[in-house]
This record gives sequence, C-alpha cells and structure tokens, in this order.
Amino acid sequence: MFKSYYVLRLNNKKDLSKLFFKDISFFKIKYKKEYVLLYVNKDNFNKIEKYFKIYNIDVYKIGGLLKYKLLLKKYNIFMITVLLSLVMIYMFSKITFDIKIMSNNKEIVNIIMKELNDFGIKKYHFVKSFKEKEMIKKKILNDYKDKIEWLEIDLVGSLYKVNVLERVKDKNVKNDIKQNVVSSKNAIIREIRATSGEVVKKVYDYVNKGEVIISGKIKKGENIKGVVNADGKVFGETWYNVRVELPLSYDDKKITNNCYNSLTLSIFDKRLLILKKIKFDYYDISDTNIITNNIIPLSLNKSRICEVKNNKSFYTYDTALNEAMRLSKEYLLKNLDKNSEILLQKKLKLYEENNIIVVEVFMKVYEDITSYEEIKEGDSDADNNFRD
Amino acid sequence: MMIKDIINYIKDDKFKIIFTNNSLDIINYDKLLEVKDSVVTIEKENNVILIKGENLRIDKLQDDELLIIGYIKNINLSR
Repeated sequence: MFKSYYVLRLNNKKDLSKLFFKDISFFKIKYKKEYVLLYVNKDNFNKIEKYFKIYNIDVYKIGGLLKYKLLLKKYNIFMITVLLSLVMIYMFSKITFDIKIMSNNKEIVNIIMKELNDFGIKKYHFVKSFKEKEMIKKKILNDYKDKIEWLEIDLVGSLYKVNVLERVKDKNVKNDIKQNVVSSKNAIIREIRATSGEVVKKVYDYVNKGEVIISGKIKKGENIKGVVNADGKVFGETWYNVRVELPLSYDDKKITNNCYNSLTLSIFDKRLLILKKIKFDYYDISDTNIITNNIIPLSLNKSRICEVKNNKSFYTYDTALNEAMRLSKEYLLKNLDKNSEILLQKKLKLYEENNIIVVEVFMKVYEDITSYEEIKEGDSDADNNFRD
Repeated sequence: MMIKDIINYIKDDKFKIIFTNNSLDIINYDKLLEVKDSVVTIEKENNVILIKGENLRIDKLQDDELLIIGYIKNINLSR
C-alpha cells in the first residue's frame, strides 16, 4: 500500500520491445488499446526517465507513499493552515471563557467563585479533567455542608455552568407551623394514608377543593386537645372534560426506505451537502456527527437522506374518535402525576364544525389530591385549643 | 547440511519455469534475447529457451522473473 511506484504511459506500443532491452524492470505491464501502462519502482523510474522523449512516455499515475509525499509538497501551505486551525480549535475548546453560577444568593455565588478560583477554574485557563472537576465538587460540598445542599459543575462548550442548590432548613420545623391535609380538587376520596393528625373524612366521601381530610386538631369529644402537624397522602377520583379538535383532512408524512448517505457540513443552522445533491422534493435528514466543535458552530456529518411521501389523509368519525381518545389520554397523563391512572374514558359529543371534527371526552381519573393548609391562630377551633 | 538447506530455501536461485493455462512464469533467467508476438527467447547458463505461441506478451519483466502471457504452444530448450 505504501510502496512507492510510478505508472508510465507508453504512447507508441511498438517501442515496448525496445524498452525490454534497456535493463529496466517492470513489475506489471498493462496493455490498453491505444497505449501500454508500465509499472515501475522509483529506481527503475530513474533509469527510464531518460527515454521519455525518445519513446514518447509520460507519467500516468503515481502511487504509494510517494503520491502522498507529492500531494503534501503541492498543498503544503493549505495543509499547514488546516493543521494549525485544528490545533487552535482544539486549544480553544480546552480553555474556559466564562463561569456562570446559577444562584441568586450573592453569598453562595461569592463562596463558589472563590473556591473555583482557588482550585484553578478561572477565565482564560485550561479546563479541568472530569476527575479533577469531581474532586473540586466534592471538596466544596464538604467544606460548605451547612450552606450548599447540592452542586454540579458542567462544562458547556467553553463555559463552566455551576448549578447549585442552597441548603434551606425546613420552614415548618423552624417556624413550627401546623397544617391540615386538604383536598386539592373536587373529588371522591378513594384512599387515605395518614401519618399524623386525625382523619375527618371517609373513603368514598365527596370533598370540595380545600376541604380538610386529615385535621391537625386532635379532638376529644367537642374539645380540641392539641394541634399537630397533619401529614399523609390522599388519593381521589376526579373528573375531566377534554375537548379535542381534529381537521377533516391532514398530511400523513411517511419516511420511505428510499434513502442514501451523504456528507454534510453544518454551519449554524445551515446545512451544505458535500457529496450528493438532494434528489427528493420532500425529505428527512438524520445526521451523525463525524467532526464537531463546541466553540465554532461547524460540524461535519454523515447524513442519511430519506424520501418523505406526503399523503393527504381524511378522518372518518370512527378514526377521529380513536385519535381523540388517544390524544386526550396522552394529554392528561402528561399533565398528571406519574401515579395517576385513568379509570374511565367516554365520548360525550362528536360533531363537525367548520371542517373540524370536535370530540368531547369525559375522563375519570385516580390521582393524588393531597394539599396542605396552614392552621392559623385566629382559627376559632384553634382558639378553643389555646383556651384549653 | 541443515543450514545449507535453509540458505538455499531463502536464496532460492533455482531456475524454474511455471506453466499455467495462459501464462508462463520464468524465474532466475539470465537474459532476455528476443520478444515477438509469436516467440520469446531467453538465455540461462548458455542455454537458449524458445517459447513459441500466439499473441505472446510480457506481463512482468524483472531481473529475476519474467511473466509471459498469451497462447503458448511450445517451449524449446537448445544446448
């Protein structure tokens, strides 16, 4: 592969036999219609060079290491520039240009900034390795246990982004606030898990939003014997009406298997195709980065270009209903707690309005309805407690 | 004896003619005397070897090896 060789073109085939007697070695000879290709190594090239004019010989191709040497010689300025640019890009990607601490607390910001500075994380300095970064993080967390709860140092391009969570003492404990567990929504109670306080509602009771379910006031008969911080979880059955609007017709985009690969150069949000042109009217491109850089928004990608076929599709009442059911369920689950469950899904109305199919869906949901309400001193019951 | 065998094996300066369907590989020849479409003549230790055939062409020509392609009809050795 790397052995240097020359391929020479002998334009007059008749002269070949004369060359055989010039003490020149040819490690391959290829006979073409109009000419003959002679493969020689560097030593034999020097021997045959003097016959170039006599026998009408020219260099057809250069192969092996010599080819790269000549290319390097020809494009040396370009290559050196590219190499220097790559080195510069690499260097710049390893330098910190800014440090951002994501906190509003000036004291915390100053502490972290000072610590980072002491550990060598500063502007216009080289970035730290992952190991060093983790060590710095641990040390800061250890030194400021009482002030910092959590800390993360991320390197985003050439910027250090420090996410920090301040340690806050539990306000309830600090201020000794007492609270009731109340319903966050109008619901039918399905499950009560009380850890403290007095449960004042039963499963299957209907509760309005804000109604007390676990009370912090401990009663004995009619009298309040004490006030505690009520806590627990309450799950209830809630109801939703979801309105889904679907157009009568829609574009159904399908990515076909008619695909090909190409090299693309991405500059900011522009994409330039290097090897092949886009053959399709509608297409989908997925990129795999080959060379990318965080500082310069330029990347070389291997892109897979697939034809997209746009089909005009129409909803029937049946398909629209199915789609509405799917969308409403998806929408609700996305907006609810992950422990929530849809108990019932029912169509309420289905009609057409200005080329739009409207589906109204009723949904019964099992969800967490726990909320808290502070017990204030002015509360009549609480006053009663204080009198006792 | 064994060392001599190894040296001979590595050096391999034996004169060989290897004939396959459309090619004739001649190893360790001395001199190429003539090249024509119908005949190629070589010399080895004062012996002349005549290769006759049709459309004979030299495919490789090196100090110790010569590869002839074409329709080979006859190989003749004259002492």
